[in-house]
Amino acid sequence: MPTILETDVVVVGGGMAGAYAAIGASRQGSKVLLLSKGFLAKSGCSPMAAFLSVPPYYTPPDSEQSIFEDGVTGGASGIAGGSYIFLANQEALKDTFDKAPQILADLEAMGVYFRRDEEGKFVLLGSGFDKDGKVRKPRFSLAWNFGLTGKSIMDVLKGEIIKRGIPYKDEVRVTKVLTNGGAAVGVTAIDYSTGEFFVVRAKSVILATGSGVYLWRYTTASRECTGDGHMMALRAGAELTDIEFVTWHFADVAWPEAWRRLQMYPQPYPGSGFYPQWYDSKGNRFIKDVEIGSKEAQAMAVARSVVGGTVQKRGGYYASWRHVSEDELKEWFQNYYHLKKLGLDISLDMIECGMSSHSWHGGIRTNGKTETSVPGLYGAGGVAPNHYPRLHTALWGGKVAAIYASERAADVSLQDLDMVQVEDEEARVTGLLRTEPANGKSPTQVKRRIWDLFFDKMWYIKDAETMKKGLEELRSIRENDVPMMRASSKSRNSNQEWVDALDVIDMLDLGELLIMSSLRREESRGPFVRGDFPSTDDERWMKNLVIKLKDGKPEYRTEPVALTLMRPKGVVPS
Amino acid sequence: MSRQPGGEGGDIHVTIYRFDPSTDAAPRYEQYSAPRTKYMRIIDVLEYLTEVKGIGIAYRSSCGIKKCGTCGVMANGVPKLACYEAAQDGMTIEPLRNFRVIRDLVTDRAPYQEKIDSITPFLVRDSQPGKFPEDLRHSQMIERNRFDQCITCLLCVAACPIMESNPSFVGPAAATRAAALLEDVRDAGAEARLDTLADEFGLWRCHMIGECTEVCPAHAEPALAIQRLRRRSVKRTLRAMVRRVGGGHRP
Ligand SMILES: Cc1cc2nc3c(=O)[nH]c(=O)nc-3n(C[C@H](O)[C@H](O)[C@H](O)COP(=O)(O)OP(=O)(O)OC[C@H]3O[C@@H](n4cnc5c(N)ncnc54)[C@H](O)[C@@H]3O)c2cc1C
Ligand code: SF4
Ligand code: FES
Repeated sequence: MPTILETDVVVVGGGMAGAYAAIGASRQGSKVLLLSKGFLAKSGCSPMAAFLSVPPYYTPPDSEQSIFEDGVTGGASGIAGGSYIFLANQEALKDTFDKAPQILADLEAMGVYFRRDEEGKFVLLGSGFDKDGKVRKPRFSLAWNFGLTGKSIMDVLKGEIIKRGIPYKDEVRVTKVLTNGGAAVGVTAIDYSTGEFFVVRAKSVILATGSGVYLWRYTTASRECTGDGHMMALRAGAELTDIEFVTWHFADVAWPEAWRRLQMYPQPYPGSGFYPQWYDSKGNRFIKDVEIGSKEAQAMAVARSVVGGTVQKRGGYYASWRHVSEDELKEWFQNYYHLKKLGLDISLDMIECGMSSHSWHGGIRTNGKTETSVPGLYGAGGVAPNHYPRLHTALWGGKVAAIYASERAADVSLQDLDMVQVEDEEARVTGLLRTEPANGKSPTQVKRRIWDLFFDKMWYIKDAETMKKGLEELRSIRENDVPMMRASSKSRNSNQEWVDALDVIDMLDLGELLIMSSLRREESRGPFVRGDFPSTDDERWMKNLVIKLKDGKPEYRTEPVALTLMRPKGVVPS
Repeated sequence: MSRQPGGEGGDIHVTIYRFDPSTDAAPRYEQYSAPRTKYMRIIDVLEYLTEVKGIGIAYRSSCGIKKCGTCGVMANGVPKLACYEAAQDGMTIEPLRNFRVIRDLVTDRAPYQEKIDSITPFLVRDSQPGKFPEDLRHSQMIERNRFDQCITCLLCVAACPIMESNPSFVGPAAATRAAALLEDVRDAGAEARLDTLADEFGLWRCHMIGECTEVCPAHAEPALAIQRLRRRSVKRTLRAMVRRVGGGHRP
């Protein structure tokens, strides 16, 4: 019989959404337990983020309305990199902007320092360029150094969690959302440093597991982001939406491979508004005409060159900072130290870059209260972005989920667990801790196959043919490799292969849904690019694509986008 | 034109510490090799061995870019971040010193986290700020920011010669967090923090040799942090003495 812990609200995830949700729920008077697959504040994408979008601090002629509109239309690459043209949950987007001032003030009160100048004004970071190449519409801020924003905020949130005495557990991989009578009643998990399988009984479950972008070998997402939360929600009866919307970076470091998450930031950088220049391997300026363009235009220009064979998906083109002084870089740019470490002389050398999958606009389908269709189950942050998966989205999600999860916790009592579910899950999870067959494959090797398959077949530009090949390969991994998966040892001590085996199951399930959704959406829109359907088709596809399981099988349907606050030009109000 | 990135081609050979206390009688060292790639880091070797070769070596990492601070190892006897340090042929890779080994390169961070918890690791305010943004100038925050670069990778703890003989020493990483808070002009938590830090086993155990700063990958200067804390602690003691003498309460 596994240990059963009891709490009001269980938060799954130790990134910005999870940490902020835990603090919020504790403030509401709930008893909270936070579980994190990596370490609290040291896992997920949050610690890597360079800057925070702060919509209320704009520079005229920008206005709250223009920023909101950019958010909906993907103008200036959306509010912060990546557009999701007209598919965003407008109410949630609006509320994110409305709540941002409160959230920022709260962060500052807890100890975050947002960079000021000597007059005490925020240093704002540009969101793009105007046609003369001047930095346009500064509306972002940074904690204090470009590149350390996420980390610094996470340190403060962790401090607040310690201050409030909120219990948290590191290196706990949650495996299932338990339900009873259709409502969420808890979760199962393994503490993989000890190998213990345990159960948490809770009145509300907040999933804050981040994006699922670690399906691709070259990605900016951290090691934990394998889509666990997406699949747990779906299996518990909730819905996913628009998971085919993946944004791509083109400016991440190609070598060393370990640094594939290090961005050379093709946008204006704080302080001066400098941005890198791009060269191909012959030393010619490359993508010069979109150097000051939107992120989509830039990614597309690089992708076209990949298709044309002049550069590769990973390499063959270079970022140059040679036009920026070393002092300037050192003052503002965390990555300065990384380049130094490689022995590169910034005034001489260029940095070879590559493309990588970055973030997901889609995820668990939630409403403006972060509620899923399962009572008691909430989705916050990168796992359920509603619009743009960024730090401010994660903070908004955490804040809102805390309120509604706590409200429910005050209303309902702890429900009974369905012990059959617990037993079945324990059997499934422990079943993956096996060393047979002897001639099998390690789960980590299988993971690598999935990463390669996605990078190859589900790249930025895709078409039906490549995607169908991808689907075939994915199914063959499921049929042939999964039964052969075995760990090197049955030891329960920090058995990462065991965690990898659990991940593989979720990655394959989510990956299949992602390919199927991408096949269905017969258009291109913002970051979703199909070679065989290059234009945007508002008539057929200005719709959310929703997935739900019925008897264990996925069912797809489209839902009209709720154009409650803004409509595209030419669309007549109905 | 860019100079050519160095070191591609051929194999790289490493020796890795393997130990699972639940199944092995003693640690052992195993030799492995991996094809060398451009600018190869230690973690690239570990990823190759686990992901391509399927060898079940346990190690930690999350970000791969010196942000999460979880990938620390001893490389040729020196604490390094696996994702930041170049892999070298003939390298020996072991778990961080001064920590209990859970398995292979994975060590137990929890006891040290308790030390960080003990220094009041959050901003203490006398009163909540009345407005947002509060009045602050960047120049007021530079010292705080220096120490805020710390990514709690605990390499400095592994390098510290005092930690081993004085397990009650709070250690350089907790001191660095404390310094970031103490140097924050908004903070009013000095008393509580210095109480923890300045006790008999705290700050004064440090020999100020500076190994910690040497290994710090984040330029957070833990040795300077300790020096700052000492100075504050001395000042505080002197102030308290002056107060006592001035007040005439001392017998
Ligand atoms: C390299 C990079 C740079 C970025 N830069 C910026 C930027 O400059 N500005 C910006 O606004 N946004 C940026 N983003 C996006 C932003 O970081 C994310 O949208 C945001 O951090 C998401 O926060 P989150 O809390 O939802 O998820 P994450 O921070 O990803 O946290 C997820 C958490 O869930 C845990 N977890 C996962 N699965 C499980 C499980 N099964 N059981 C238990 N726990 C689990 C993980 O351990 C982790 O703690 C960047 C993202 C990346 C990857
Ligand atoms: S002070 Fe430096 S070495 Fe020590 S924990 Fe912080 S970042 Fe790591
Ligand atoms: S993996 Fe995050 S610091 Fe090395």
